[in-house]
Amino acid sequence: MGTDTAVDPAELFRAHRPGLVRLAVLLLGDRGLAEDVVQDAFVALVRRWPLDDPAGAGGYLRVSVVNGARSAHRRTARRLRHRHGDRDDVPPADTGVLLDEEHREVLAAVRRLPRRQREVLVLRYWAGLSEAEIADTLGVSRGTVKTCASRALAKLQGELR
Amino acid sequence: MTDVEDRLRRAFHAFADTVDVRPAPLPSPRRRLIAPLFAAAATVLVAGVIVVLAATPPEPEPAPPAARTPTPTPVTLPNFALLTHCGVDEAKIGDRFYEAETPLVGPARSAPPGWDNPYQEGTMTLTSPASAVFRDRLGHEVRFHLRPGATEFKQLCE
Repeated sequence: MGTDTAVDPAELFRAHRPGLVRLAVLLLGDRGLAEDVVQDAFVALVRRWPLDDPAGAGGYLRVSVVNGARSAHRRTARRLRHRHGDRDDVPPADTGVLLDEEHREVLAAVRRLPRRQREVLVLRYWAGLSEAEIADTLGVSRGTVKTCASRALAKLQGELR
Repeated sequence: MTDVEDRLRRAFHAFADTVDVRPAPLPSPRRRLIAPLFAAAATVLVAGVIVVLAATPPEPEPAPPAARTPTPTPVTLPNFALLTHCGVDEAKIGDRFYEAETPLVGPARSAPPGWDNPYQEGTMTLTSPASAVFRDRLGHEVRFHLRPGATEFKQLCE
């Protein structure tokens, strides 16, 4: 997801929606929630159109989706704690239906990580963002991104065989 | 790249590849839904039924020594007016919003061929709290799933 020269929201929607839905599913593990989060991000973009910097629309959408996913995850976690007690590692309904054992194991381990570490890993290893881009998306320093990534990888190294 | 990083990348991409994203129109910031009176009345009636059903859960049967898990009973809503004007994609059942598993949309985002417009009368059956199926006299059958947390329709339909 790089910068955009397109100035048409419909074109941005066509170009970015699939990737943003997949990003939101990776962060949330729930397709329905992911679609809602992405939908809300585009509605917010259209409301603000034209942007001061149309070329940065992709980055704006990514931030919007990550923030929306956090809010959605908090609401879901509250509902699950009411029903299941204090568990944050309830596997998402969509996960693993079409995946082999190796991938399911990795994704389950990722879901057990703290939220920010999960976000950093998804943005780096799926979205392919640089450290600077991840820092901008999450609103944190590059040092924080580095620390989160190394802690997350160390934890996964210990858990995955 | 380390082994863990490689495994992460492959797992993320494998999972993301299972996410099928169909084309959809750009959402509008205006979220109004213009509904004729009879559809509003039908929705209110359905909402009332849903509220009553939700407020009065079935009494659990006396459990035998070996406990059984009760099977949820489907709830059928007759005379359900399904919005078709912009395609068959969304439904509001009570105060909850659902979306079609396989949307049916006609040319230029219109009612699909063979369906009444702007509404199709039929029966909506809640097969579970998160899923429903619509059937009508013409033999149409559309399955819907809940949009958790949704408070409005995805698309404006005028």
